[in-house]
Amino acid sequence: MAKLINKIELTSFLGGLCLFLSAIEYLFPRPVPFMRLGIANLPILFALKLLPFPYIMLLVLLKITGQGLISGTLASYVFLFSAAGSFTSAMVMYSVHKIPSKWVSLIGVSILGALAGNIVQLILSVKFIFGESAWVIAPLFLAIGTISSFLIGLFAVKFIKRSQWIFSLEGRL
Amino acid sequence: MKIIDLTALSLAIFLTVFSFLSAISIRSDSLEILIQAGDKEWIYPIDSQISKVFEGPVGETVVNISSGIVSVSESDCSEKICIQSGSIHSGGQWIACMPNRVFVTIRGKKEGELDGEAY
Amino acid sequence: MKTDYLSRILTPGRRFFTGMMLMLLFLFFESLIFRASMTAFFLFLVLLAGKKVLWKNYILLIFFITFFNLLTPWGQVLYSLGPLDITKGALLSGLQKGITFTGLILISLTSIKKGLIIPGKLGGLIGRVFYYFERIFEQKHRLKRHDLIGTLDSILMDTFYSEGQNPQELASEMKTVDFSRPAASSPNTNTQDFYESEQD
Repeated sequence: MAKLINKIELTSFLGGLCLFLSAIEYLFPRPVPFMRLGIANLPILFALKLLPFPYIMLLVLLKITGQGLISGTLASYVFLFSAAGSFTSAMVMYSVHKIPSKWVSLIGVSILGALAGNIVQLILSVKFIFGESAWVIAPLFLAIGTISSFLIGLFAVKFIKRSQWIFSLEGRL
Repeated sequence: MKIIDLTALSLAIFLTVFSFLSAISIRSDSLEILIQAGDKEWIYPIDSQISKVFEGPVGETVVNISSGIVSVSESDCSEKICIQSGSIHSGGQWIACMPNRVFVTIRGKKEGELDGEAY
Repeated sequence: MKTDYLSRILTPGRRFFTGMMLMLLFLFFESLIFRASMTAFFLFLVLLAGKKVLWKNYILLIFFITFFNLLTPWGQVLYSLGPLDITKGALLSGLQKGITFTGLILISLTSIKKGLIIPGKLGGLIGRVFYYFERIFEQKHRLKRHDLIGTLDSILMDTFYSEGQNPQELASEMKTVDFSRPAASSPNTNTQDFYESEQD
């Protein structure tokens, strides 16, 4: 019988993976400086399968704090915006994931999570930074979010199906 | 793709299209207030809350904007026609204080303001 | 790597504290002139800290924020650029927001330095997160476009169960991991450089 895996350690590992993926994301060209594809959310989709709620929230906290430390924006608006977006999105993803899997896969979870997070970030940036006129960027923002969250969800489904790593954790958490 | 995945995707596409359409329509039906005094111009959105003094050759004219209603409350002119003309609230209406050269109009936003410039 | 003059006079902890005090002062007064001069001062601090200043990013940021604010005209018309009226109120409030945003990023950049220890359990966890981040990052070259799933999976297998160790043994060892391990308590400079250069 395989020994148990420490959930905190797994959470930190997934946090490290989040940071790695955000590093990768910087390699993609961005149409607008603030636009994020959100591939760093992939580990959160894994976490839904692997960890209970408090650890998922901890993972989100570790992800945004880590990103803030690396980019040096831990103590600025950027951090607050990303915190609000990430927590909303994670809570939506968690709730949707509770729906029986015969109705929903990680694709739907990912799309709805990204949608909620993006809407929160849009509202905040309209209120505090850009003013009402910024609603004109909403379509582009939502379109990119929809496409990338769909692809990330799809990737997560395929990855979990094939991954030896995920398989190696089974029954040990 | 399962049933809620499809619903989620449709919802996201719907909201994207909806936000696109409303971004276009915000432009066309929102009104703004144009105030001309002397050779200068001021512009305020129709939903502003503001009371501002404008200088003209005769003296001061006070324009009030509140909850989409625009009026002149005080003016140093002799006739006071601008005050008597009451309040205006829809596109195309205007109030003028001829002696003091203050002219207030409600107009639609300039056409094409965002076309091609939004992104 | 440029010299970090600030680290000669301030420990990372004091530096963070000073930064936060400056930020509060910055946010306390709303005047555009005050915020702009503070932002210039923060820019100077970033240079002193030996960090790369992403001029293009900050200028674009202020430009975009001001532009979007100009789209809702407010106040005296200063200039008409074709269909766009440049109004005084909108221009000032746009500049104010853009400069404030930039100022906050700059002071944040100066305040946070490697060696900054986030106290308590969260700090220890962040240390672990960076430890794993660096492990995975070292394996970056193994990620292959044609088989993202397979290559990512094998990277995860190798980094989670580090080499030479049996997964089962490691799992039991993990329970007693010392979070306060200093080696893993701060972001690595190399990865920081990576981010800064990629943002350009």
